[in-house]
Amino acid sequence: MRIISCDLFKLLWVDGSIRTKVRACMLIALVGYFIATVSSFYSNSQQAARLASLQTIHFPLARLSEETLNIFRTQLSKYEDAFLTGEAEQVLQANKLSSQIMLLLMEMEEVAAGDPSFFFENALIDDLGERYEQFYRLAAEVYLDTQSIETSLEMQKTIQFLGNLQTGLLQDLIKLNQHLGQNVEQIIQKERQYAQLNTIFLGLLFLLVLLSATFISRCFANRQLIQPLGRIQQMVVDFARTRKISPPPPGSENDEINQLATSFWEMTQELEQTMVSRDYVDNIIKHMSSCLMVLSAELTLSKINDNTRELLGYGEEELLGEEISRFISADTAELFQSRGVERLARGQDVSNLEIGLLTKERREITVLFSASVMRNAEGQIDAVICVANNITERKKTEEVLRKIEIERALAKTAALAAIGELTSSIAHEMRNPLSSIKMNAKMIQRMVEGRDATVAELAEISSQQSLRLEKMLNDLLSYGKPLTLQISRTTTSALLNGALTAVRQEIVAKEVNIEVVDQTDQRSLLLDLELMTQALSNLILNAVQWSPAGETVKITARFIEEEYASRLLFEIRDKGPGINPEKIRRLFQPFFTTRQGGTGLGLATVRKIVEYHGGTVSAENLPEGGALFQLTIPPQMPAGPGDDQQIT
Amino acid sequence: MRKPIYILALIAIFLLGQDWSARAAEYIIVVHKDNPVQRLGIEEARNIFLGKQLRWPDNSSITLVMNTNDDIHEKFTRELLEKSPVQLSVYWKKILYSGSGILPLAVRDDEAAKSYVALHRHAISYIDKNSLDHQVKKVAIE
Repeated sequence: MRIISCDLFKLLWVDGSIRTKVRACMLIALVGYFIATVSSFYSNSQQAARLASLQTIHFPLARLSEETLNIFRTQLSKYEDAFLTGEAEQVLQANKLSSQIMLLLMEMEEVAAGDPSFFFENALIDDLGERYEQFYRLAAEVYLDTQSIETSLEMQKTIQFLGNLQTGLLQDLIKLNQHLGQNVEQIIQKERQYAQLNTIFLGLLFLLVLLSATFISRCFANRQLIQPLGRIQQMVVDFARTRKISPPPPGSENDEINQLATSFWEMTQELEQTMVSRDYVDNIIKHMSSCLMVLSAELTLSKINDNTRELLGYGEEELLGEEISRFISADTAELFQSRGVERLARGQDVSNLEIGLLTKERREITVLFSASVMRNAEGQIDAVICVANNITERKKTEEVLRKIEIERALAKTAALAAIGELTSSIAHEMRNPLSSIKMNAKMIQRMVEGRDATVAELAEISSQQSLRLEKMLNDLLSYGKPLTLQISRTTTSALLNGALTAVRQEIVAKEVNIEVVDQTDQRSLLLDLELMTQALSNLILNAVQWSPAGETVKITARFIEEEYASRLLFEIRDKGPGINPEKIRRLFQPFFTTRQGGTGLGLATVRKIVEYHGGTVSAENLPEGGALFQLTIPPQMPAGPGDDQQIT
Repeated sequence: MRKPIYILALIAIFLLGQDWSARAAEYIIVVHKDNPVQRLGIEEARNIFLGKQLRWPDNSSITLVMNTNDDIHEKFTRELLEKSPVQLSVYWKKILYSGSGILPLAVRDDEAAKSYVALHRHAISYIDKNSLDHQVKKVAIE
């Protein structure tokens, strides 16, 4: 059965278009219909042929036989009457019937000769004709005169012979009549049965043809249409579930379904090469350590990851569709509106915005909020991708560290203050003797001038050393004093101009070039302009002093984005000999100097001023030679912007 | 005057009530002396004379001899065969016409009947009772 089915499938395989396949289905149905129609036609024509034989042979024979029998009975009756009564008239009447009977027998013989199957009947009719001819010739003669019947034994025997003859004829005619009648009845009965059988046969045949056509059409359609479409459906399902898709079997170029499957497979292959699977993306989102929120253009939550749900404590259905502003704490709402929402509305990204998110329990969680705009093909805002990192713990840690740092700074400041006070006290105490020494040295120098050159030179050296010691004491007094910051609003250019003006003479004297690169866009700064100018000028002066004549000192100012905020960075590069690496660590310590005649308080004062501004200062050697000093300060001191304040 | 009428009536009644059979012809059935048959049932005798039984018990063919003596023939046909002589004649003609048999032999009187029976061993006939003699043997009818 399976082999037959396979052969059938091979036979039914149509390598062509859908139209050809549909036509093939219709052809199968039409062939079935044709077979049923031909069978019905053949059956009906056979029945018509049998009914025609019944009409032209069986019925006429039966009718003629019946008529012959009736006439013969009438004839016999008349002969009998004539025999019993001696009426010659009856004999004459009977004799007239003989020709009719002979004609009927001839007609029967002629009809029966038309059908070879009536051979037996034809022979019987022929025999009846011969016997009847013998009978009627003898009867016509004998029955005319039977007066001597009782006396003539010969006549009695003749009559007896006639009697036997007519009895035989009568019996044979009756048998023939019954036979032909039964024959007609049998044929009618047979036709009835045949009609019933034919009806059943045609019904079964139609059913068989219908089932066969349906089966073949189903097999054909299944193999040619359903299976290929099912393969495509499976390919689509597999593709949707990111399963491996097998290539479709090779087919005809005219087969649209195969072409569709091939095109789909090719498309999936291209997509596999160019697209990241959805599972992969979902996996990334799921395993993100940050909170991911996708906002609609109206800034409502349209998608979130598990971390966001867990952080806020809401169910997904409670979050989706809600405006994000609902979850921003009141303290940071204004910041979020100004630096978040408004930037996003302008299509700008938001990065590292420190805001507070409110959980379901109304607990505030500090997060670093970043967002970027996703646009559609028309350039319209399609969605906003937001990432929030919980920095609550880090803020706590930073707060602790900041407190420790403050405590350390306070302790250091207190120590420095104590040292400063001591140093100021000593310096102050040394000032008067030093002034006396300086005045005496000047007087000695004036007294011996022109008389004793050696003493004059020694007096000159004592005077200069006294001046140097006085400057050192002044610097020491200055360093030892605590600073009071006079915060004001300024710009980088003002700061740089002030610093350069302060060291202009040194620059000219050393014949060093200054190159200034200001990349701060004149952003507003809040700091102590005088002190910061002093710190910056110290660094520039240091660079100028170590630079050979004709070289360039490059000063760069720009903002840098650190983890939580931006800072202002000054870089001063010189082409000097660089710094001894072993001494870099001590470079900003008080009284440490590498320059002949230096007090060791210049860079220490720079660090003091910078640290008072919350900044840092560092130094390093450049690979190409020379030294690099970096000074970073927050662009705005923590005090409220716009108002000048004093910070001690 | 009335008495003689009554008397005549009584005489007439008497005469009408008398058995005249002794005086009328009375038939008997006779066969050849050597025929072993001694008696016949009425139905058997009727079948033989109507041509329905054609053979004796020894399977020999029965030869019928019809005695056409008017009195005997009429008495025989009416009493035994329960037909009139004409009906019997038509009966035998129909048999003849149908070819199933021929007419039985007819003799004119008892003597001819006896003679024929005496000469033919398988013949059977009927004669007047008074005509019985040694030539033939009477067969009793039961």
